Amino acid sequence: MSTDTPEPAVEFEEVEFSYVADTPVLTGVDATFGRGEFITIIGQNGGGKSTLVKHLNGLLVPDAGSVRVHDETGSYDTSEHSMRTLASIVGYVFQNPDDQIFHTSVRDEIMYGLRNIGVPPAECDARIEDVLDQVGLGDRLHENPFSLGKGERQRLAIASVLAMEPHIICVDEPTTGQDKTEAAGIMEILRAYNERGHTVIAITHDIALAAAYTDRVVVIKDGQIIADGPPERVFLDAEHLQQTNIRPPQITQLGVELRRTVGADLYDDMWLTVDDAVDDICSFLNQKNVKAVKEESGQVSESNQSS
Amino acid sequence: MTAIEVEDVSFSYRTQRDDRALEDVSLSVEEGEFVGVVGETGAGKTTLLSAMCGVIPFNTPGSLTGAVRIKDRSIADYGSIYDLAADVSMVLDSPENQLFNLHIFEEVIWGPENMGMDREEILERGREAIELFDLAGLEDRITYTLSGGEKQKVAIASIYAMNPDIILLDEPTSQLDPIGTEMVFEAISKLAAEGKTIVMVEHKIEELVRYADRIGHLEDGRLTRVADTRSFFLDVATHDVAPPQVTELGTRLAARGVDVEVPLELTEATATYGRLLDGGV
Repeated sequence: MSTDTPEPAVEFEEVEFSYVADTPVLTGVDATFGRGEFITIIGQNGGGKSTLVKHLNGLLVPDAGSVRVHDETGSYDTSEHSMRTLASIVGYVFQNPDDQIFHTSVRDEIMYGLRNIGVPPAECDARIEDVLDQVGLGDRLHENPFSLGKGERQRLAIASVLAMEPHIICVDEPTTGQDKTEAAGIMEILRAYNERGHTVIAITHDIALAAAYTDRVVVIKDGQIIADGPPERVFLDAEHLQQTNIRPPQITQLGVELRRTVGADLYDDMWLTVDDAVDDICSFLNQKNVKAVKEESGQVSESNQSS
Repeated sequence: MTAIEVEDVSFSYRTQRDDRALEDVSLSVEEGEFVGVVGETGAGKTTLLSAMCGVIPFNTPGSLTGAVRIKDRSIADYGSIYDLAADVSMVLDSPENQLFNLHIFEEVIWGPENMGMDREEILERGREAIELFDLAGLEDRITYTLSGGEKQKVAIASIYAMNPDIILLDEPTSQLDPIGTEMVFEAISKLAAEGKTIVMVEHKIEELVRYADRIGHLEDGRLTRVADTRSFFLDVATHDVAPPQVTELGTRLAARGVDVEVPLELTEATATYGRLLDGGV
């Protein structure tokens, strides 16, 4: 990121929360997420990831501490504002799309959210078409959501939230149940939304996607943030990761291991994607002058790293 | 002996408008085999598992042709899904759809209790399941207070407790963190080693290749390819299933003229690429 510290989008201050007395789930979360950041939250099962993000739109309010969300008009303490007010700032996509889909046509499903936040009826159809194009469901306007495949329902759930154009979008395990190609498609949708200046917060177990798409990884364990930073820094801290049941992406693990055995000149920056590895291995081999390595046909400049 | 024989099976759900969910699928799975099933969402993976455990035809309206046999006995002969349960059990992809007892341990032993197993055996099997799936300490927790991943482990443990010969798993690790995922794979491959037959729908390719004997690929209801795991991923031209990262790396290096044997697993990859890079010194 070339800019200075961005304006805050979300501020967690000493947030504590429990569903049942004496079983604390969040035990003091402190963090600021900046406007326009693309953040992934990772961590072990039961660590408090979903609980934390449910605080953003007032679905849950802290037992102690505070959660504030910001848009350009001001700052809102989530325990003092209705979910209706917060919904125009923070969009939340549930872990299971079927928890949020309840209309009988794709159009109505998206319309519902737009009406709720007071979008003028004349604007709605244009917005719906636009957002369906973004998620690749442009030809599904009049279908029943339940005739869509699960991957498509997941994209519809995201579309119905994107249509409201929240400043902050929060998605809980958006790629679960999808193959690698579909999962990358979801991350591309979120990246495009992020590139328009919005804050994107994604919970995921797919560490390879976190590495390839986001600039900040937040690691949660036992209701607290135990690591927070760019993926290459977080993945360096193997000890912390081990504690949280997380492993770096396979390609990162390979790179670390190879660098240890063949030498530090294998790479300067840790491998976060297969692209990184291809580039570094080819230049390493070229330097050693073992083999002439051909340019990869067609897709040399393709990169998963956002600039 | 053949554990599951799927022969020319086609199926459409009653509510389905155009294409069939399964289209002329044939597959036989040997006893003790671990078969992975991959494919995009909507390709028919869950439908295939449902047809293997009797949910189709007994609990799902639709039109079915072809035959499924469990250990040489036609599913139609079983007469109901309850009669099949002792032989074949399925772990659903949403644990919420499967858990309905108040406490974890009750949930785990619910299956064997209903199958009329001996009380001591039930408790023994339940304790084993708790141990194997790392649920110790959670026995008395209330099921709905668990996280998604914990529920998923309970769902698998409760199937394990019923001790079926054939276990079908529909994305059993989708909500599990990497270590939890690996643990589930370890436990399941242990069952395969004991002679259980496993069919698992899974998107986590990097883990799947370590344990599965064969991989089947479903595309729009058709089983377009079944092959042993290594040939499946080394012969990438035949399908668009993303391989493990270390495999993709090898394929792409080979495309650039680097002479390297394409690996499938991380340890293998570390050795292979280590030799390649060391050779350059």
